[in-house]
Amino acid sequence: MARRQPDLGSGRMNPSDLAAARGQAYAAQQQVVIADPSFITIACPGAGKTRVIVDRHLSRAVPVRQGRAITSFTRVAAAEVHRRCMAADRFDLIDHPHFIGTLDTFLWLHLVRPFLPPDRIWRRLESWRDAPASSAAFVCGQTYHLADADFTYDPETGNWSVRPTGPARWSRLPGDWAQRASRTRANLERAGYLTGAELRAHACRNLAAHTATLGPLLTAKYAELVVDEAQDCSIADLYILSKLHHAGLPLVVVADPDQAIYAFRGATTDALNSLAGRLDRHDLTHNWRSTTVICTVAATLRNDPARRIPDTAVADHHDAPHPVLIYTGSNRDTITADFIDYAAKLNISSSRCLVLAHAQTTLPKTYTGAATPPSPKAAALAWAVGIITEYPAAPTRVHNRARDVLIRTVLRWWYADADDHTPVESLAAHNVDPAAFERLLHRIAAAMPSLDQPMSTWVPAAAAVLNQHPPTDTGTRTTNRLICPTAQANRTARSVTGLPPTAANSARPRLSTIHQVKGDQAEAVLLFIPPGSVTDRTLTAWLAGSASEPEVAEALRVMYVAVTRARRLLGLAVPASDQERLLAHLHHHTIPTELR
Amino acid sequence: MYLSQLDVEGFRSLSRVSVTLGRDVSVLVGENSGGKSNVIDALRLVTDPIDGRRNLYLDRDDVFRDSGQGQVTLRATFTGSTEDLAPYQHAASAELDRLLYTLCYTPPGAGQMRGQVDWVAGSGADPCDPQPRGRDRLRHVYLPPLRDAARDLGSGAGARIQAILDNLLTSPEPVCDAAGVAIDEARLLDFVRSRFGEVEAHPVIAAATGRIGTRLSRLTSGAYEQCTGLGFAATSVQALARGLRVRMADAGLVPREIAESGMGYANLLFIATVLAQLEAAREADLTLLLVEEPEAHLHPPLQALLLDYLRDAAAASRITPLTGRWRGYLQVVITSHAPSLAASADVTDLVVLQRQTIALPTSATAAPSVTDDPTAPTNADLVRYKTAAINIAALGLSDTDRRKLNRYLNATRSAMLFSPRVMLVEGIAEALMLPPMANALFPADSIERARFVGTVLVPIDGVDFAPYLRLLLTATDGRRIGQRVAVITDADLQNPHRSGAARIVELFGLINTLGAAEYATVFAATTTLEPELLVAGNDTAVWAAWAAQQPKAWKTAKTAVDTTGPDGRAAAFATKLKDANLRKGDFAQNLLDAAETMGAPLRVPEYLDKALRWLVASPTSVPGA
Repeated sequence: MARRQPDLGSGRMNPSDLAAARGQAYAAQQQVVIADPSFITIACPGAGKTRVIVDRHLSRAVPVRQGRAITSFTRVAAAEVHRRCMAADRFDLIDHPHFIGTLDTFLWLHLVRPFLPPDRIWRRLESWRDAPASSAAFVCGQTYHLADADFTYDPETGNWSVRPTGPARWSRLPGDWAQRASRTRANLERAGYLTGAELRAHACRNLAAHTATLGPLLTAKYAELVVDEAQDCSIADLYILSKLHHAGLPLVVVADPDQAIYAFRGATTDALNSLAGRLDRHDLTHNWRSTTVICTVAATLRNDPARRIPDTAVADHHDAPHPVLIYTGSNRDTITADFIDYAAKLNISSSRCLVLAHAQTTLPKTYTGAATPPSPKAAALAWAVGIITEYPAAPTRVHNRARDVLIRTVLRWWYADADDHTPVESLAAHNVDPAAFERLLHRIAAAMPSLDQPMSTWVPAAAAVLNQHPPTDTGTRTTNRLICPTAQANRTARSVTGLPPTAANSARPRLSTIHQVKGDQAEAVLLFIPPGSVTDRTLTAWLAGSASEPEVAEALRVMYVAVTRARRLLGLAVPASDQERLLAHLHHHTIPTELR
Repeated sequence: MYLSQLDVEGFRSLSRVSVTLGRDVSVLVGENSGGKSNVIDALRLVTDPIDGRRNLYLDRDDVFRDSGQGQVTLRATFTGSTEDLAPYQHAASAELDRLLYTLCYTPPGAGQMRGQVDWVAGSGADPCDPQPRGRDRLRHVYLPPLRDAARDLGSGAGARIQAILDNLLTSPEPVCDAAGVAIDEARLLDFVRSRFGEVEAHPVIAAATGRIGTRLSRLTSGAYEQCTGLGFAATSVQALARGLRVRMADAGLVPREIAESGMGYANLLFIATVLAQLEAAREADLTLLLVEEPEAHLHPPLQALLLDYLRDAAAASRITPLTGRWRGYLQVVITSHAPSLAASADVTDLVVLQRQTIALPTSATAAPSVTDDPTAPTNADLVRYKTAAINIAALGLSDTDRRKLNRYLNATRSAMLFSPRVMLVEGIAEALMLPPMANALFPADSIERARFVGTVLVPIDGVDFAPYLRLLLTATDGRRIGQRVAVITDADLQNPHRSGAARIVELFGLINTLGAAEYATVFAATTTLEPELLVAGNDTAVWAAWAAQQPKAWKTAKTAVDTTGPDGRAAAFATKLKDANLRKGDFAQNLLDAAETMGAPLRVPEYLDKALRWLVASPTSVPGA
């Protein structure tokens, strides 16, 4: 069944070539460390850009009263910079006057917070999911949640646009859906709630209105603004960066346009290119992460034909000959199990395997559980408890959702006004210590009954657990009840939640959507590419080497991100119908493959 | 950059007070219990102590009880250039022209042990401080009243001296030896080691080592034998600084230990070392130097010198701040109840703090009433007071007034800033005559007598009352420095030009314009003081006083006056007096002497009688309420 192809000839470098390549890699990195701002660095995956940014922070001092702002799009990236500065004993570099954090927080601190009228308390939300439940829901035929709408602000026109996301994307929406969603959003903003989109709208407006004072202030405050993962910048972000740069703030922009996977948020490579065109450029093209095989696969995915030269692999394992594993079966669980076995033979433990898909629903259920909670409240609680206690490998997003369900269930259980506030506000309003509440959640989750009993007994047992765990000593419970639809009474809680039986003691890989693992890496990566017209068009574009539709180009970039997370082993699970043309394509590039 | 305004709510006596501070120096003046130390403590709470060792914390007793807020709110506003404010942009106001830092303290609830301190950077739309470390660079040095400077200089001086030494050793303009070679740390320590070595080798030290050594040897030879030596602590700049003691003596003498110098000079030396350290360290953008009651140790000329010095030091800290270093700005805030110190300060640097008495209602429902009478009877259970602040800079005085007042307000006249009752008189004669008159009018132990004693009597040496009135009576936030201001002047009706009358009309006009008719009024002699004394029935004493200066000529004058009818008597006396060109101060002294010798009771002219009685009356209105 295995069909081995010859090794990739160019994979192995002799020691002196490797030393020379690494010398060039270090030199290129050093250039980024010492270069005067403003400039842009196009960094390939695994180029060590975080280390380069930290090295720059450690060694290229800024004047005493000035700081360096290092911004990224994820907290994880900011935490990494923090950690590395602390490891170097440079605690002075992680706090005022420096800034290390997300771009959102940077905008909040400097472009939004000072201008907010103090007539109400303003609160930042990660997403509308965190808003008070009663005000974030809107009825339009059926009930929708604002988290099912994606809003974009256009800084040039000052207009908002909205499109459905999540489940709402697949349903037929009434004509006034957009209008109602917009009105709900506007009401929440008036009440003082801001998500990233409102934050950017405020920032754009304030910047436009106060350029004359903000420009000199921020230029005096920061010696430079470093923006990591700049390919994820939205139109609004780029508008802000351009304005700041124009006002004299030196920029260090680090980007990989091939990893731009937020076009749906209005991030376009055109806008980035227009900013980049005004900056000096210092590129990083040496890959310290992946094997030559993986670098070669990745290069063929790039949109720009001029950039299809594989990055130079310079890691110790750069010449590892492991083939790309091609799967065509339909059972995702067995594919995943086989991939973990294969990795184990290469001494890669399951915890260092990463299973990826564009959409949550494409991931193998055995390991993730069901991605979304069922709608009856009792079933949703059972799902949340199941995810929290039995699926540590489930994607972060699923865990957050489960936590949210549990928190809201507990709050509704005790507080009649729970849905009028965000959970954080509820705790404050009822004098509950957040840390104590956190412990309470753990105790509740641990005390919950087994999911293998029927709902008819699970529900009263769960209610008893809730009753036994009031957030404060003096709580009296509300009339809220856990209701189990009669149709579900005799089914086990597990079957109602959609959670498969736990694969006890079985090896668990990490599972995630591709968008959640930006900047991350794993020894082995398995990517599920589901059948469908998008896949079909995407593969066609990949193999043909040209993507004319923006949607397809974006899908290719998402695949690029997935592939480039892998250090040593890559697996691709594709529809059987696409197997032949994919193999042909890889062979054409003399990439070793193994059909599993 | 400087702390331009402090807004306090609910902190001790500061129910609700705004204090505007000057960029270089501010002097908080006012009566005892006026709230000066509370303002200083509020400044200590909103800034970091210079050495990071905080010894002042808020507790439940600090909450102003009658405010109903149950909370302390201290808000500091910092003003400065764009460059100054930039590192703190997250705390900027919406106009981006100043920084707002607010400290809120909620006392512990019943049964709780600790209260809660919350910081807010910015306007308060997001009630937190996202970058609390920024506040580290806004600091203070606190010099408490009646300090033991000798002790401070002895024990805590090491760090200060080290900072100065470190600065000298790393400065781009280092200290050089005679040959012009720069002295760095290594060279200094080499020198110290070689000298220490010489001392350690001295025969007496060696003998001492021997004595210890023989015994140690006995004790340890059975185990692992130890040997010993006597030497100085490891040589480092830190050890050297710790070993040095600041000493001082009169110029030309050998400096001695501080304990042997006077308390006042020790304090000046302490301030000098602190300033040298601040200059050397430059670790902060702003350091508030908070000096409480420097007059406690210093005689008036030294007070003036100190104020002058601090003002210069603050101004110097603002000249060309270096880029690439913390700003090192110095801002001085002094509290004082010394008129001499107030007199040395620019009038616009002064902040007058007064106590306002609040009579608490006996029933819980009635509103508290506020009076400004500090001598009003108090019942500890029913009456409290709160602090009111009047920032002279905020009065909007014209440049002319400001310049005049700076010249006018000497140590004597500055006393008027310390009392709500003020009598402004033309000259020395009135100033001398009024106290015995008050004694004649008000019985000892009476409340009126007490109020008069608490009054500040200011001879202005002329008739330019207007600047004083504008200073005392201009309202800011509904409060005035003067609560009861009597102006005593002469109408000079005998004078054909009638300039006196016109002046009185103008003064009344001014008082009305300032909206201060309840707080001030003018009492005028029809002629001048001396004729009015005569017609009031002090004939004998008056003529005795004239005789003392003009042993012969006085009789001619008396004859002329005596021959005038009762209506023209005062005018006739006034004319003669003017021609005689007598010294008015001496005249008053002689008159009082004569009255006392003769045992004749002093008869008070009607306009002064009215003035004194108005002055000591209970306030009728409730200003500032």
